[in-house]
Amino acid sequence: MIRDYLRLSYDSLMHRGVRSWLTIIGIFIGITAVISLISLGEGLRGVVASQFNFLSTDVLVIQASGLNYGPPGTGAVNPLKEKYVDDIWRFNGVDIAVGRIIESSLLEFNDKSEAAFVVSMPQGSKRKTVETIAQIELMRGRDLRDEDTNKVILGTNYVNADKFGKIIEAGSKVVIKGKEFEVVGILKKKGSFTVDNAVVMNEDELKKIFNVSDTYSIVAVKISKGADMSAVKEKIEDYLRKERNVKKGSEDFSVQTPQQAIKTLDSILFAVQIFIYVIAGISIVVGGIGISNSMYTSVTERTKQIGIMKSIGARNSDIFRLFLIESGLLGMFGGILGILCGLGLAYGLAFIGMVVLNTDLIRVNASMSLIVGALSFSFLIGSISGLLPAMQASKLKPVDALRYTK
Amino acid sequence: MIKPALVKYSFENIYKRRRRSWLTIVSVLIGIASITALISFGYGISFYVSSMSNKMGNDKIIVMAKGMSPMGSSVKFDKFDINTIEGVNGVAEVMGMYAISAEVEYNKEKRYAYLIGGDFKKHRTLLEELTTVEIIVGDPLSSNEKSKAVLGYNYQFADKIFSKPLKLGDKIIVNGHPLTISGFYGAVGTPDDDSQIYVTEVAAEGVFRATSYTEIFVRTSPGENATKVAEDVAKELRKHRNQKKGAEDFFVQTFEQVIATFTSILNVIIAVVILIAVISVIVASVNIMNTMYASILERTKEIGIFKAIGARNSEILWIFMTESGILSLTGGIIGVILGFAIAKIGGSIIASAGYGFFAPYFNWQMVASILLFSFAVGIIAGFLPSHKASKLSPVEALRYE
Repeated sequence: MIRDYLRLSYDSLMHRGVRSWLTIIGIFIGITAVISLISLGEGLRGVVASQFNFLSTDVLVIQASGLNYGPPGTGAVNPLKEKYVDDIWRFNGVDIAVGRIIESSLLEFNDKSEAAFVVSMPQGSKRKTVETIAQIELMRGRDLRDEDTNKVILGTNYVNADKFGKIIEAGSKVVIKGKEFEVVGILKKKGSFTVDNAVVMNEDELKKIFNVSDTYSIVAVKISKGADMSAVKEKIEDYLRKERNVKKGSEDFSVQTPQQAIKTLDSILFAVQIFIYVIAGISIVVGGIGISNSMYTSVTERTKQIGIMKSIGARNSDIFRLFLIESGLLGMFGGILGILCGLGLAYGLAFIGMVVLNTDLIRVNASMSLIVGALSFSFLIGSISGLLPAMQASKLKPVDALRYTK
Repeated sequence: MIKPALVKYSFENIYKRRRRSWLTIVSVLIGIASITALISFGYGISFYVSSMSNKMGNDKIIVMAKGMSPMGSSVKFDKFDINTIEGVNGVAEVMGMYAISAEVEYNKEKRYAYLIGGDFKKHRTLLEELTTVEIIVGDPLSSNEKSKAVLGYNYQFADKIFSKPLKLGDKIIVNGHPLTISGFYGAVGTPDDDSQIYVTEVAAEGVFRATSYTEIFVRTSPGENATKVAEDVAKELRKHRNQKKGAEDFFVQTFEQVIATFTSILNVIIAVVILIAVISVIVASVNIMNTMYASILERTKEIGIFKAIGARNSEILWIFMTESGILSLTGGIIGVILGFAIAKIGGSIIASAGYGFFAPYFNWQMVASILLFSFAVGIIAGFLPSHKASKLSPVEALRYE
């Protein structure tokens, strides 16, 4: 039965040749735009999310409030104290607590200077932990060790020859705040702004050269297995309120899961994306109107045919289904082509970004749900657009329809 | 070439197939409406930027720390740097400015904002030209004032920053120090700028312990080339700070350069958004083409009769071109009106959210070119079908069933 419908619909679509193609092109262009924009947009959001390197689910990040435009903690009015870390570590349910200092500075090499984030690496037993939570992996050279002095690890972005006119290698000497440091290792590329631009330095040394006495930019707390995250969070908040002498509701700090920490940025990005989708979506709506139009024409053209079908026993519902399937097919064909082209376009742009602009910020993230969603959406748009014309066709009186001439 | 009778015939046909015509017009107008709204916002923001740069003038230079963010940078500027810049030929005025991250407390509510410190009595016009606003309520601070502040525009209103509006004489606590409000600035149009707190240099240094300027602003003497002065300033600062070229920890830019960079980024963003919107017009043009093909197919016999009684190919071509032109132009006109309405409503919503600078802007050239564009789309989309119609052989067309 359904095969007959498909057969009939397909034949009539083929019969209209050019016009079917034009109708399909309408939906096709719209879906291409939406698919490529969404997959690139999702990719960008992934990139942004990975900027924050504590993305494990069992980690809480503590920050002092302030205007936060630079690296975390730089705009804090009342910074976090070193003693918090030891106190919090003793809490039930806390596996590890580590503080990190982030300073922005300049890195000099080959008589040129570039802006950099200098990030502290705690010494002793905490080093391993930080390396694990922050997913620090080396591309070249070796990790920092406790006994290292005047040594740093660099993110991959400094290795580019066009930054300093000369390639920084493991063993190169760079200058930070007037002091010479030996580069002992280069981090693996993470595609994350903060990691790829990081200069990792032992904590004691960083404190000395940046004059940091007993404060941290952020404190990361890893929750023990099986512990209740929200209970630990509450305990930390209670403690910090008491320590910093603030009342509930007027806290000058935040304790957040990493997901919460990037919520603001993520919501801005999300709003921008929605805006772009809406504009791109408009073309799908226009394409839908095209389908509607094309179906109305098709119904008019086939009035006589409908009359014949009805006179040999076709029911209203049969005619309705026939036309609905036809418009649904139009939408879906457009959708399939659009998805293929959209993905091609997105991957093409990402490839161009990689080869020509040498950036991996343009990334494609096309989930299965996006593809299935786009496909069902285009079928839906096709069907909705065909609804009224199909209804009109099904309601035709056989006698009138047979008598109809153009 | 176009006879009135033919135009009338086109109109009649459009009317006769009005449902199809309307659907085609709607598909055009949706795209044109979104383009109109987007372009008007693009225009508005470029307009704002250029008027701002006019107010700022081309005689200003900014000196900032190199780095990801000016705040929290380890690069320090001090009074000696100011003296060095003052000694450069062609420099008329130098103002150091502190920017400190501040916790502002009023009525037990806490907010975060920038505390801006500087000698704004001495450099009043320079500051006013830079921020493009003046103190609209109250008085400026005297140079040795330590307990008063002038606030940004938004503090005067309820629920913008604090739930209650602030008045002259009210006390706020900034980073633990009480300050009395002595005035308010006018609206810059961005939430960040309109929530700043301005204090004197003495207060910033003495009360808030600011030790290093965040930015230094320079005004060049009349008739001097700002770009040239900026280069000299950079050279002298390098010498003073004992840094090699390329390895300096600061950068010097004229405001013209800053604005040029900003404008070019802005233009790219606007262009991309409009390009995405243009896609819908392309889809609409495909719809026009489709409508015209259908219309010609239906009227094949009619075309045959026309030709049989002496119509020329060019006349048939024009009949159908006029038809598609009318369809798209009608869509264009309604679209522009709709886009105008959308932009106006959207603009007032955005303005109420604190981004007053983001307002739509219209002029006749813009409206005319959008209409021309929509007409051109119709003509181009209608050409192939019309051409096909004009080439039909009369005998074949008459026989068509």
